Amino acid sequence: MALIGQGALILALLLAIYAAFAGLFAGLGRDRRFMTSARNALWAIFALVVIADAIFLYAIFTHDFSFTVVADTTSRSLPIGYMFTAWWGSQAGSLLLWVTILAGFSLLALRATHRALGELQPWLIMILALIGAFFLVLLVVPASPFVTQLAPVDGVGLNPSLQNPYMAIHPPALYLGYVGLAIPFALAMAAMIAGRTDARWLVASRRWTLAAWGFLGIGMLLGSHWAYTEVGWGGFWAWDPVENAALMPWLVATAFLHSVMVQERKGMLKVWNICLISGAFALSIFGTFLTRSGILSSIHAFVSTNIGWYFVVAFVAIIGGSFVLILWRLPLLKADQRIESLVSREATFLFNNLLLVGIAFAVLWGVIFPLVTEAFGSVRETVSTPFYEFFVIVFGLPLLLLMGLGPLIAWRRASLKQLQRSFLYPLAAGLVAGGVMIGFGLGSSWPGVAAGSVCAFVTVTVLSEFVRGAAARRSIHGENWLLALSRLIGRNRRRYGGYIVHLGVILFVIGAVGSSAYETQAEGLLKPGDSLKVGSNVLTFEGVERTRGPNFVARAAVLDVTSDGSNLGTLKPAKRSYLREQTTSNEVAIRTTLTGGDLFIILDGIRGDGAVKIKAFYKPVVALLWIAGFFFVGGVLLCVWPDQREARRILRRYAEEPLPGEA
Amino acid sequence: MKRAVVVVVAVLLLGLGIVLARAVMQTSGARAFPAEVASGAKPPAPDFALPLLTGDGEVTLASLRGQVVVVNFWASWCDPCKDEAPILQDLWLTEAQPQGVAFVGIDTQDLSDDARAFAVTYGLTYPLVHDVGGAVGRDWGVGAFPETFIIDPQGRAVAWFPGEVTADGLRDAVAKARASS
Amino acid sequence: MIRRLLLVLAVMLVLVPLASAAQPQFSMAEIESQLMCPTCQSRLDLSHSPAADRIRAFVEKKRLEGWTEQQVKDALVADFGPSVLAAPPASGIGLVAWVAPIALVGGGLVVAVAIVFAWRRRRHAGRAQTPADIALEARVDAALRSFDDVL
Repeated sequence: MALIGQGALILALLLAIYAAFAGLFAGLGRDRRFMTSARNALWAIFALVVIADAIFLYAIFTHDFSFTVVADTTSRSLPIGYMFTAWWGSQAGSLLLWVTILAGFSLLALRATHRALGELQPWLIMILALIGAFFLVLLVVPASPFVTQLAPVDGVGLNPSLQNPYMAIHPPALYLGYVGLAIPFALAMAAMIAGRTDARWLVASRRWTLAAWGFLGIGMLLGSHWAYTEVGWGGFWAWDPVENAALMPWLVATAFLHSVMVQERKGMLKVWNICLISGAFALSIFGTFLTRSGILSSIHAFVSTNIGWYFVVAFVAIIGGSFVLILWRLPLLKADQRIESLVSREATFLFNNLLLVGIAFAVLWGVIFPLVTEAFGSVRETVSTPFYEFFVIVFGLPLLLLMGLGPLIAWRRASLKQLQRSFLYPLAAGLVAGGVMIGFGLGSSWPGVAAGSVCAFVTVTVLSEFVRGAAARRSIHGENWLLALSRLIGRNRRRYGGYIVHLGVILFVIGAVGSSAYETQAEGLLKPGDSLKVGSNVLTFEGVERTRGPNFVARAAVLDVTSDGSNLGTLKPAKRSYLREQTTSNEVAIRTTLTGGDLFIILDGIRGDGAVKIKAFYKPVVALLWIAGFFFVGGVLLCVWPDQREARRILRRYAEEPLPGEA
Repeated sequence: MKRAVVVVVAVLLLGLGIVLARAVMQTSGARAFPAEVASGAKPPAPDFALPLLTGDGEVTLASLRGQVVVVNFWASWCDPCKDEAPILQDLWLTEAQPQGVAFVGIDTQDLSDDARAFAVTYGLTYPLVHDVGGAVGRDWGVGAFPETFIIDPQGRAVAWFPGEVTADGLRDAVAKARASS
Repeated sequence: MIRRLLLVLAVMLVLVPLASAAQPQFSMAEIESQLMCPTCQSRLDLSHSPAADRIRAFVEKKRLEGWTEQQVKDALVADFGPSVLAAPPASGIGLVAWVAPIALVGGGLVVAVAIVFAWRRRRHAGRAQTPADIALEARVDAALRSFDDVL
């Protein structure tokens, strides 16, 4: 069995190398038959990888512990539902998932580019085959899922922190995002090699980028929710390298999604867009590298593989390769038009990109800074929350402001009269919101007030876009409001989908800033009968309750919660001790109030005499974080969903303008 | 202008590559020292100069050249270290000190107040030093606590004990180190 | 009256230093998010290892003794090295960490603005606008708007 699996992977690797060469020959115009052959090779790779998957899963589900990886990540007592989780619970398994997704996406990308971008296909196949070959090398040499051993009676079991429903969805979502970015990257490279540097590759890659970006975003949101409810320290984002690994490509892809619009409309920023998509993909490889190589936690990396080397080579090859390609095609990448004014839509996109890339760079710099200081012979500095939060506030607030300014400012250049007209209401809303916040005693935190007024400003701008559009339809077509609004959105999905995502961002910012800047906290050592006041809530400690789970014992503090005299029930924050793993975990107690705030209670410690250390937070508006997720998903779906009308429009535009080579 | 951009990007890329490569090298080398010791290769032990936990002065490994040295990494919060401390102290008083075998207890990843209290609780009298910043522990590839290394008179690491030592195990290893020189 | 005032004053004089000595200068949650657990390499408030518990106990003790946040941090740095801080200090090599992103964005801003200004100057110097130009510009503007508003 293992032999067949290993054989399938080796064969897939050989085919990937072949497909890369076949793509090259087809691209050079040697023989059209190479093209057919390369395409068939991609199909064969997909089939072989699926065979490898099937064997791997079969081994997991039949408890075949002669597979080392299976024995290391599963056990006989592992619930069936988490058997799939075991797939990506190991290094080899997660790389196998990577390759599977890539092989599937490659075929989809080939189908999608069949009609409009036929001349890019050989190069597209070459790039995708090279990426596939890289990961297949990893699977064949340093991280094979098919290494066998003398089967032990039972496996080691899955890490308890992975035995969680969130951990079953969160990694695959991130992987779909990481791998999805390979397609726009390959399209960009193919377009450059083929010399087709018009906006066609960009239009074709937009949907891929959006989907990948959406998956990354959902993956991060799920991770945050998991961290908030399960890890339980009172926050939702810890800025650890694993989280940053997903955030960096997401930020750069966000910049790309915005600057794409400028190139589509005005033929500017061509080099910049290629840099962005290469950067986003390189960072997604870097992210996989960070989470897989253990460079940032070397003390704990007992199982040291040399997998890191492969990633360093790949990372440098991606950046270096795209850099060389850009230099080679620089004459073809000249801007068709230029920015005419700093007060124009294209200029706001430019600043938006600068800030997004700035945040991404700050995160990247923070991640590698310990390594840099060490390389210069200094002690390893740590970079964590305070550093990242500083840059998110400093770069993020202007970015948020631009989100509101963008729709108000016309393309090319804005006139003062037009600015005055469109700025009046949003600006007033922002000022009023700030004033109201200070009036209600929320002036204690300046980032809070600033974020609040900017959010009000942006909300009014975005909502007025919907109202203005619907009103225009109403007067032109005589539709009622509801019909006008739905037709408006339906016919401009991309634009209004984007606005819906923007509304999601606003909700997220309010949730994040509100829950941290205006949280109230209290901590205390409570003996039975003592109480602790947090905000308007009073917690009264009743006693410690002991319970047993299947593989842990839990001790919970029973707390009676009252607010303004009315009883809100009991909350039981607990500490679990896992016997076999010899670890303890905090089980926080969370009570969501009607206003969207959370009462969040951590049991910090239990003393011998029965007194408990309790840390309690009241976090206002935290529910908005999760509501924002639905806006995000809705907006992305609206943008991604196939749109026949848009496709026709694009084809018509292509028919009108000749290819640059033929002009 | 264009050439400047090319040069800057190339330099940055090279720098990033080097930093990452270094980090990877360190990761794959993180456990290399103990592994080398365990394989019997007798690698030279990395030198250190660390301040004493109590009082002034410092201890360097180089100054102990010519003696067999027992280097013990510990921390006050580590439970097995508590079981190990009396064993080490007993061996130090009854055998090591009389025979001219040096002991160094390296307190790492620890609060010095806690460490001093620990030394008092267990009545430790062999030299104890404090590894500020944990750099020595990293150099030696210490991953868990306690860990003990035996250094022969030529400054080569000849034995490695991950986890708690036993009196017999340590006695044998020290005897071997003395005999081999 | 004066005696009473003096008495109050005396009591205050005795109490004030006591109160300030026992008055915690910062909250645990606040400082825990700014410290790292050196053995687990995660933030202190996320760590439950024995070493993390000891550091928490130390911080708590010093907090109740009235130490300032900075004093506690300095003491921890003396024992664990700078890696115990969750962000590098804004001095020495740590300053590089803070300056680089600001320099990047600031530099990018300067370059972008300079380029736009250079382009504008060239455009204006190039030619005067003829009626045909103006008509063309109006058409371009209309085309750009139609991208936006497909009603």
